[in-house]
Amino acid sequence: MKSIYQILLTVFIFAGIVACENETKVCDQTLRNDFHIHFQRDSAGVIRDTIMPKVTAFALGRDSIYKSQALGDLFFQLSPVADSSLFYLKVDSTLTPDTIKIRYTRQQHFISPGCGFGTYFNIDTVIATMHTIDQVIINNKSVTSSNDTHLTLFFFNQ
Amino acid sequence: MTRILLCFSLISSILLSIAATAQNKPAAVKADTTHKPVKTDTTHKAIIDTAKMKVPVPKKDSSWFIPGGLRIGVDLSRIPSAIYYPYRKEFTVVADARITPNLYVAFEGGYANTPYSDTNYTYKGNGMFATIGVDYNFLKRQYVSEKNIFYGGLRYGFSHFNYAVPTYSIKNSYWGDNLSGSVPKTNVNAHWVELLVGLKVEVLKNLFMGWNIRERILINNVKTDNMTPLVIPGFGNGAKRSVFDVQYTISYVIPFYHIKEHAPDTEVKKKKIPKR
Repeated sequence: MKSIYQILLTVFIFAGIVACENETKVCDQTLRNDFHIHFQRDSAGVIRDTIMPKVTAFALGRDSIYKSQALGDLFFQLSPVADSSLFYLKVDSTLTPDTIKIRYTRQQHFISPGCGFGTYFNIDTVIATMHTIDQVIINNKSVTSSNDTHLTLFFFNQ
Repeated sequence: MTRILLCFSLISSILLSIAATAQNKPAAVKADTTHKPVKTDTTHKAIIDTAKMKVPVPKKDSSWFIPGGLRIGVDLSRIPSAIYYPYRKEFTVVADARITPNLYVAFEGGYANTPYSDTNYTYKGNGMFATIGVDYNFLKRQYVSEKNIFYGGLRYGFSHFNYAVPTYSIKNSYWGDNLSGSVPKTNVNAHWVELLVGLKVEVLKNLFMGWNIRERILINNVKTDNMTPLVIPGFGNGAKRSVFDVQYTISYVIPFYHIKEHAPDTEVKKKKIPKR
């Protein structure tokens, strides 16, 4: 009988530990919902992923996000206080740079008790200069997570 | 969550198996082998086995009174909970009343206040809650007036509460912009069911201490597109559909009535006479 009470006491203590979970202490979901751009080329009808050798990118009037890096994907933070963001993109040091303007609507929402609030974006239009960019395809208009590819840029074959 | 559910089911099965083994099964009544009727009739008279004749014995009134009453208490686990979770300030009253020897009608009610503030947002919420249901005692009484119980229970819970976010800010390190906003006061109703197992032990005359573990399952949706309540009063985490919780109660029985209990209809064991 004594051992039964010991088991029940252990169960209660264990249950008390399990029940303790302060959800405001940890941000268990990432706040990042960056605009994800993927690079591709169309080589005689065959579409291939591509890595551009020296990518430099920044939002106009802001610091560099990437500086002469070999990249196949870009992640841009969209402005949470404006309805559009304008980015400079140079994919090789010898090539003419392009600009990409992303227009969107914004919605503030509660992410979690630990993370607080964030902004979801819904892409309206993408306007790009076509110096090195051949084609622009919007894959996903809803920017709620950086895991999705939102835009694919096709580059001219050199 | 899966871990909590597995843990809960394991705990429940352990506790129920303990309760089950506590029940004593009555031994099967064996047939009397000593008074067999004579197989062959030589006298052409009706054979009467007098040992098997049922003599009408007037039944005695085999019933007695067991103590009933209203047990009222408070949930002490809300005190450490308020220390560990400063934003969960909750007061819970628990009550139950015996309606049959092993069945209790149970009620809980309370008030919760949810003040929270950090660098990202401030949150204000408060509301009332109530649950009603039954508890069934699995513990076999050692004596007629024993009041200790090991029970399983089922509850329906309801909460009416409101919440608001007076200010929040969204920081962006790259753009250097801080966006601020607010969420207006919103009234919400929540409904849920609870399954629980626990103990209540009489530590002093009519004074009980007990604990129980419980799983709550939310029936309706309380989230909106923009906001999820931090806490649902009486339920717990507003972001989850099911939550696990523990109560530690201290309560007092007001013994103002008794319940009549009848003796179970069991046959009296016949003494086995050894063969010679």
